[in-house]
Amino acid sequence: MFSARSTMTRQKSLIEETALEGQLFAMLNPVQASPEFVSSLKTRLTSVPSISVERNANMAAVLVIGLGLFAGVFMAWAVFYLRSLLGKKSA
Amino acid sequence: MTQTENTDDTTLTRAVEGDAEAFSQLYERYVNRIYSYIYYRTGNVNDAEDLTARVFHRALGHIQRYHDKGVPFSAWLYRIAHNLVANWHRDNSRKQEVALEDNLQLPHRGELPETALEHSQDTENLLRAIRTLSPERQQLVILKFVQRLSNAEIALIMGRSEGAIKSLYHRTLLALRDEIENHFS
Repeated sequence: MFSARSTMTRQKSLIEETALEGQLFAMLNPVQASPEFVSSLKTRLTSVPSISVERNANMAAVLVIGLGLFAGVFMAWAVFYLRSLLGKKSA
Repeated sequence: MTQTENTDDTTLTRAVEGDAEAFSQLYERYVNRIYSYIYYRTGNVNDAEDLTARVFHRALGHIQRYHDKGVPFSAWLYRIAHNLVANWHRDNSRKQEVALEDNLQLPHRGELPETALEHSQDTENLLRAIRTLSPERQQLVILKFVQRLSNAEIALIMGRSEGAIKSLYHRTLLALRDEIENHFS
């Protein structure tokens, strides 16, 4: 008696589950993204960003002037240094 | 999913090697599935579009690190989507609660207005019931009933065994049935 009731309950539960599954399959449908969104995202994903590093056209001139200034300062420092060394020795 | 995955192999290899055209083909193949999944999880078009864009930007940025270790490309995309949706829910719960059923408009097949209205009410109740489930169970319901995936495919996406998914599926249906019976019948 108890076993028969238990089987009936299980069967009822199974039927309810199947009905719920059917209901879920019927009501939950896939949705589509808007074509505009799909296409604009595709463009954003596939287009290479147009960023370029600008180079200074007078880079060579800047380098030459920089090197010249550096060499000038270095030579001035060397002259002063040698003078001070010679001055110490003569004293 | 599996059949498509097999034919994807060369496209996927090219995409991993940095071929933009190949990635574009993969994008076209999966964009609607990912969008649909996210739409059901977020409940509105704007966030679904924003998160879908983020999924594919992230996939593009990390595709060179993608190695097929038994996880299909689509499962990899779903995992990215799941993580982004989880972050979205976390951030959103801090700001404000957006109810799925408030915004979600689902497609209906050709119906008479009164039937559509009834259908819409039923759908609303069903979605409200789904909304009460844990995020993991909601994910399972969407993958099963919206995306129509098998337990084996869902197992790959959720990183679990097929048996665990079967059991989770059964418990989810019971929970959903109880929720509907207690609150909406």
